[in-house]
Amino acid sequence: MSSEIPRTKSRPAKAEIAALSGKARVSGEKLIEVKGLKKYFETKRGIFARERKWVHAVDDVNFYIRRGEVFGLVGESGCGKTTVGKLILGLIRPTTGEIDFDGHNIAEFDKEELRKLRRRMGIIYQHPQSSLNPRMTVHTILSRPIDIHKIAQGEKKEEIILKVLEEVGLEPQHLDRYPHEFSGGQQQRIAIGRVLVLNPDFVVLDEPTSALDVSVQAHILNLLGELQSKFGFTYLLISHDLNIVEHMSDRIGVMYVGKMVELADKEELRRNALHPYSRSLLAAVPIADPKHKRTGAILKGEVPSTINPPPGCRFHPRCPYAKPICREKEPEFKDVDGGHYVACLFVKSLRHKWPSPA
Amino acid sequence: MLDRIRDFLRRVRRSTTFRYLRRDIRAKIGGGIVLLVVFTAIFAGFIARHDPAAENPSDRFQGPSWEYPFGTDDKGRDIFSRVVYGARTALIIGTLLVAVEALIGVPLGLLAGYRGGKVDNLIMRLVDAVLAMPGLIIALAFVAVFGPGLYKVVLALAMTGWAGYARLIRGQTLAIKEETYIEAARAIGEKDRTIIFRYVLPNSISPLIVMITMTFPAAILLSSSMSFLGLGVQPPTPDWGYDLNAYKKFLGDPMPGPLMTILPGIIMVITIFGFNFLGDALRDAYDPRLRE
Amino acid sequence: MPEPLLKVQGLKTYFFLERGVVKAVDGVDFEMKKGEILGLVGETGCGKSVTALSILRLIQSPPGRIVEGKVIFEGEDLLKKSNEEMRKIRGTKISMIFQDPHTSLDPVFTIGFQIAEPIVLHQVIEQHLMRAEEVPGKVMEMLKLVRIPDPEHRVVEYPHQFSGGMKQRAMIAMMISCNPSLLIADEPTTAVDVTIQAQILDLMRDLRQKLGTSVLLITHNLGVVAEMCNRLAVMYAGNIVEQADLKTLFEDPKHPYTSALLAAVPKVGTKKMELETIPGMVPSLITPPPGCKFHPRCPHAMDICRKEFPQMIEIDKGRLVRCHLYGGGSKK
Repeated sequence: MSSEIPRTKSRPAKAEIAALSGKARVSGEKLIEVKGLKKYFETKRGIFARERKWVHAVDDVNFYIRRGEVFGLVGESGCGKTTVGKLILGLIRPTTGEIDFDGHNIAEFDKEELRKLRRRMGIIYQHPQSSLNPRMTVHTILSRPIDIHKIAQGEKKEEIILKVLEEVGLEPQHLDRYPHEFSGGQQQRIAIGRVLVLNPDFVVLDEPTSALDVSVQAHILNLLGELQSKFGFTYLLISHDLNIVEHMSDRIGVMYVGKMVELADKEELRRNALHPYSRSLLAAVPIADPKHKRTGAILKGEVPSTINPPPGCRFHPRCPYAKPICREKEPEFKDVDGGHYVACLFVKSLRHKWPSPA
Repeated sequence: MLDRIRDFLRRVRRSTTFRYLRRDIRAKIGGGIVLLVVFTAIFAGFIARHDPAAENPSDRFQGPSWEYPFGTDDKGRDIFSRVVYGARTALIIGTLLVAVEALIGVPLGLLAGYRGGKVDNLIMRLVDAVLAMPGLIIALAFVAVFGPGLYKVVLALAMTGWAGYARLIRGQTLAIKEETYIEAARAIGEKDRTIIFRYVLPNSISPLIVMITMTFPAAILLSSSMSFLGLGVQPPTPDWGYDLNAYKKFLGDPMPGPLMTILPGIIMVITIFGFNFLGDALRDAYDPRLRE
Repeated sequence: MPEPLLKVQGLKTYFFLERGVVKAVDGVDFEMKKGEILGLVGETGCGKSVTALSILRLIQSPPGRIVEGKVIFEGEDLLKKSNEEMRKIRGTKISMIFQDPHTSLDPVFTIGFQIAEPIVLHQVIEQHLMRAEEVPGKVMEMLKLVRIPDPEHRVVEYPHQFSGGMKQRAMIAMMISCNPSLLIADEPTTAVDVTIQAQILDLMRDLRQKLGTSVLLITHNLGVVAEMCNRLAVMYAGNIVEQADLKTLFEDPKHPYTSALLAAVPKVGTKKMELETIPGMVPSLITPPPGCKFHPRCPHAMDICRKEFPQMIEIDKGRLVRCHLYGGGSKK
């Protein structure tokens, strides 16, 4: 008996999605560039603590995001990816470094300038319920951004709200309800609506589907993809789930303990990951396909602490290829192959060791 | 306007807290008592049969009767009417006390919690100091300097009472500040002031309601104590504490003497008990452990 | 044909709440052979965790109650046992590891103490299989078995000094110390990082090999399942809708829900732009739809699906489906 199931879609197919290939959507212009970005947090110390301990959440990160692209940021807990997202948004101020948004260094903006900047940015959080004010109706949640930035009033405002509702797949009768009356997927749609209302340039997606069921995840990811095609958003997709990042991103940056260790086009990373950590990460991701065999050895050891990161290359304690020099010298994050950046002292020799890209 | 109220009531009725309350006997009994007292206070004019200050020398020391349900006192005044109007006094004091304490304490708590750092430290040290003071004694000292009377009593008690509100709201603010929706609010460009009043405060309502409910019995007890000492509400305003003091000398007398103190006393106890009971039920109802 | 290790028959666990009766598990049947890893998959609310808790009789009652069914473990019906007998089984014959290692360990006792506890309780005191002096040695053995580095120092440390992955390993050590025949793992790697997850899964496979433990793996992560399990049972709204061995299920899913679920998962390497989605929402467990619970969302729903609840049919050896597309009506 065949198991062919006709494609079930909750929304009609949009020709634009199929037509636009990744390259056509992305312009060459840099929307965001991050230079020497560092963020250290001071740990809360007890009354008797002697020295100050710093969490090196983000430790000298350099990369750029092009207008219209989906930039995926992956890494495990403590790698700093969420912090990077919030730094670019201006929700956290950097310790040092430059954050260029559309040509302006927002690291130097004052509070009021940053607040006005929010007009052009949005963020979707991991837990939809906690990201919505439990005491505000959907209508209020969608109105707030409009009111704050004085985008529209009265009828015009209501028009915008209704249009946004439609875009995210909600109904007008939902406007008077409160967040807790909705399912997780619907709550995330409300959150997406809140972003859409401003029609920003740039949206940070911080683990947007990690707290949702598989079937709901598909809806939301599709929705995010559609909206991007329609409205030309630039996305920074932060996730620990490589499957999702791979599915949506154009380029992917891999972070480890506060540093970016690799950055490449999606295809390039999949076929030809050069940093040993990236390779382990790719090997460790469980694929929903029993035929897929795990390639590569399982990474030993624990994810190190960001308070006292290992000296030299942060990955050296777990790296199967580590040499003594890795403990002393920190590798530079360099472009080794037309947009493919790696931070590893032995990238050249390792390339030859590994099986050539399929 | 009317349908906003209807909408609000509908939301309340559907809420989990309300459903919990409906099944809680404490809420029913306590709530019933509170409603009764409030009703009595509002409609005192219709419930009381006589003017509480009207003296009838010919009807002194009457026992409970149809005309005088609680009897009359040594000046011939109807004790029942005095108790009924006393309820009004008690609730006025309670309401005013809540208002003043909250008006001082809530903004301070919000400020301390939201700003943190030095501001928080300063305010909290002040709160700590005030909480260490014996409220009743300070109130008495205040009244000794500025004289007694209903409004002075409220002021005297509020001088120390606000600290409880401040500490509560500060704790709430600290917790709520860490919630994702607060950061989300900043992410859309909300100003701090708006965040405090439209995001933090509305979400701190629950424990605030419990505290407000519990302020009433405290207000009644404290103001009655002051009136009992003659330093609180003054005649002709009817006050339970004042009456307790005025009639206590008849406790050893033959009936209906003792009843003059006992009956108002019972009413006061029931009222305080009602508020406490309701407050307990409310506190449990808001408890997040009631997740299904 | 050897007797199955575990045989669950017609299990029904309901929760009696004020707003209605939640039929969390509404007639679940499955078997487990000795030494196999059975995956119980489904989304939130499908009843997989409640099934596991029901097997161990850990359902909070009130408001929950196992209203019907049999749970036959090593030939005996667990639902008929007394509380005391169950207590002796938990931790010794059947163990369970939970999702969040951070809240499953007691913060005020050392790891060594917590691992020793079940050993002392069951093996020393109750079953007299060991003497008290042998316990520390056994604890060290367990720590090494779960690959906790530097066990001599770790054994006296407290949970907060352990990382997430290590806590999970410590919990595994606790749970297998008495060598259970069945290990129930409820989302064991959801709360840990990917590379640590890989380590834990590898450890579980290794233990299974060394100790011959059977594993009931509960998860919503199809990737984990693809790596670990021999057989799968897919749950939806309180029922198992399909059972098959791993490869068959992934290559040739029969139940429409299974197919939709598999199509909705993004995988590294696929080129599709859009993921398949399942229209509609998970049904209420208090008032489920009549007939087949999946019919409102099923692209193949027929008339009979709206009226009659399909029975589980064995269409092939080891291949069961609950769907009218393959027969399933009760009248034959």
